[in-house]
Amino acid sequence: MPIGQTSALMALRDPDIRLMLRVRDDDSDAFSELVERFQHRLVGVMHHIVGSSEEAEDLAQEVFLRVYRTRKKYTPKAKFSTWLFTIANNLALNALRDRQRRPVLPLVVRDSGPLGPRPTETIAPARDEPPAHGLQQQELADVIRRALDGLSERQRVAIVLNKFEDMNYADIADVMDLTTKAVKSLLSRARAKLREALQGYIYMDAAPPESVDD
Amino acid sequence: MSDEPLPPDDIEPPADPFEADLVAYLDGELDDAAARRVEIRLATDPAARQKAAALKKTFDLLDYLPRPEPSADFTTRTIDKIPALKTGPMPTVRSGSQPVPISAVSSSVPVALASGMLARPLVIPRPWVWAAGLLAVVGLLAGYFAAAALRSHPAAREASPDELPLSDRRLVEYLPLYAVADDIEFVQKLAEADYFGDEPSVSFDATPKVPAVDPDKPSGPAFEALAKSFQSLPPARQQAVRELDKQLHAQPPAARDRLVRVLEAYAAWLDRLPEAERRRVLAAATPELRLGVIRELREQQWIDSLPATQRARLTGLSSARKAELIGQWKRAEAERRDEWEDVRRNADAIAANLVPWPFDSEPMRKAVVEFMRVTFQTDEPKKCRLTANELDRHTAALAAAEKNGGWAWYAYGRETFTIARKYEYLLLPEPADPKLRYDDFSDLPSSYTARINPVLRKKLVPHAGKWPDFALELHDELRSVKGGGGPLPPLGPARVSDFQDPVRTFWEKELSPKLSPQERGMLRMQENRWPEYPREFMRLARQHDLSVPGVTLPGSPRTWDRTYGGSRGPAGRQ
Repeated sequence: MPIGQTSALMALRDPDIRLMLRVRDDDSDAFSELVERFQHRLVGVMHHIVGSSEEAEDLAQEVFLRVYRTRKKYTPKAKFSTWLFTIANNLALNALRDRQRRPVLPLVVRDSGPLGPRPTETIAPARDEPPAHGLQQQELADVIRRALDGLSERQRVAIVLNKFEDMNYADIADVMDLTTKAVKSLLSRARAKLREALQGYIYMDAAPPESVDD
Repeated sequence: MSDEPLPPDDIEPPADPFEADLVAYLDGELDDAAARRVEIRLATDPAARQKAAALKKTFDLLDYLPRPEPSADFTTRTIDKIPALKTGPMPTVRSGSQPVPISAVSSSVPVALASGMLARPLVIPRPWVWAAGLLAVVGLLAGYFAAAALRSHPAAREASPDELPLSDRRLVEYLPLYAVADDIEFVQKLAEADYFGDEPSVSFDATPKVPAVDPDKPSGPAFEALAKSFQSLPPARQQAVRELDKQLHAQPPAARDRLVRVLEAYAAWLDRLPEAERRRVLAAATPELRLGVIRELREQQWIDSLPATQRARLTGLSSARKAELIGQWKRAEAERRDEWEDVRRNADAIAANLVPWPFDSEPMRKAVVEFMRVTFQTDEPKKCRLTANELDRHTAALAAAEKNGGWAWYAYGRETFTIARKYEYLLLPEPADPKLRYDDFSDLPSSYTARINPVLRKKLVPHAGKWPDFALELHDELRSVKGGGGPLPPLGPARVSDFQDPVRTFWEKELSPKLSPQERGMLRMQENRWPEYPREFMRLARQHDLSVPGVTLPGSPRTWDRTYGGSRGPAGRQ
């Protein structure tokens, strides 16, 4: 398939697009290289969204397979990573919704299910009773994981893309098919919820800046 | 794209519009006017400041989440799911085996070139002819890149032209990279972090930063075209390319690979530049001017890569204010890189919550804490040398380390290291004789008092009562006066015998036995000169990795640099 002028210009600017164009042209080495290049980011993002390594790998694999299956339809329109994470976003949200529709016992038992205590109740019983300062890294990670699980699916995706993919609001809006204004609201609610859930843990390494009542 | 309606509460206007603005502000997503509104509110509202700090801290906490690696066979398993690819050979891919956290990979582009770099003499006799040769090859290079982007990998390599000497085959293969470089010195300059050097925080990762050049060597028509292009270069330029190839391949393998990565990144960058800008780079008359143009373009690209709202803050500013703001942002970015590097280097120790060196030994822990207390008088706020912020940070880090133990000592170690390095110029051995401790006007020898005019007195007043601050200020001021009226007596200890006991013992037992005759000679030359003598003394101690008691942080200086210096270590030393 000949590359149009716009595509050619974009391809020259973005090495990832160049690679994807090789995938489109059935260069099998290019597909392996693409998988190798993006697997860490995709598995990482998926893990933060779904909370399970195994499921994250399965989903990341499915993203790559979709890339391959739809390769002939690929036309460079934006950054390649935006396109890739759009597919990832769709798959992740579907997986989370499927999970809600067909609740199953998770392999790793967590108490963050819909009937379990709310994250704010389990994590920070009261502002006056901050958790022990000797909290171990793993325990802290578990607490943060539960706080993340306490977000809505979209909030979680937006936070993960913002934090771990360093995406700006416009790119998140592209990936999630929202307006940047909606992304701003989404992230604001998500950050407020995280703040509430983790308030007992944020000054473990230092005193709060000022003592002011909220 | 979504097949379900959005939960309305997610994207409806937030209950607290200020909090939404605050979050967007912290993310660098507000336009200038909105950002200013938030800043004004923050300046006047302690509750808002507390909320901002809490939001930021919460976001930072997410860094504690584990970052899982894909399984080692992830690629193979994925490829195997596609029947058409299943039996295909696995390529040699150039991605690193270790993931790079996205936020650790900076979008930063380099900062200013040190002025000393531009002092190399002009060695290119015919720059324009040279540039024309480069342009011809670069034209071909662009074609080569474009072709590489479109074609499948060739099944077999075709033969090269027979007439080409075997020794030139390699340099023809590398020509797309050599064509855009002047010489090995130019490449080495490009390898600095400010240009196309490896990101310091991912320096362990041998992956080329920009995989623009096809990993396969050019073959068939591509090779022939490159060979022809090489042969059409002027003989002097051909010789320069040969020389570059020779010098590059004379490097140790790791250094050679690093420089090749730099050349790849540079060639790919050049390839993507608009035509007019590419010509500006290539047509520069000297390597130094070329570096200047590259620096200018990289700087502009760095600005262009900033979020729109951040970029908008630059519009309408005076060039001085603009440069100041850009400098601030770059420094903040460098700090983030350093923090990442710390975390990356110490990931295992952090995970195991180990106590870092030197705090893993009780006597050393006490020695460091005592050193900071005595040297900087941290428990006497009025006499303390540190700024209020530094003192607060130091006190908080010490309290947190003592309370939490484990890796919390690292933050304290970094704080002490940063402070000790900042005030290094003041850390000089004290005199045994209090008379040599000049810290006020009343004690000065008459040869000095005679030279102190009202202007100088005014400058010295803020330093009165502090040693060696007062003496150093006086020394520096009088040194800058031309024809100062003959030699002056030293304002501090300027011989080993002038130092206090612990430093004299250190000299006899530790430093002196290690010095070469030349080093002793250099030290002797500075006798009776202050602060030159103690500075030379300190330099020699550091050179031999020795800590001077009561003057430098206890423990090996190199281990301090290695443990707490990161990219701010010895290389960044003033």
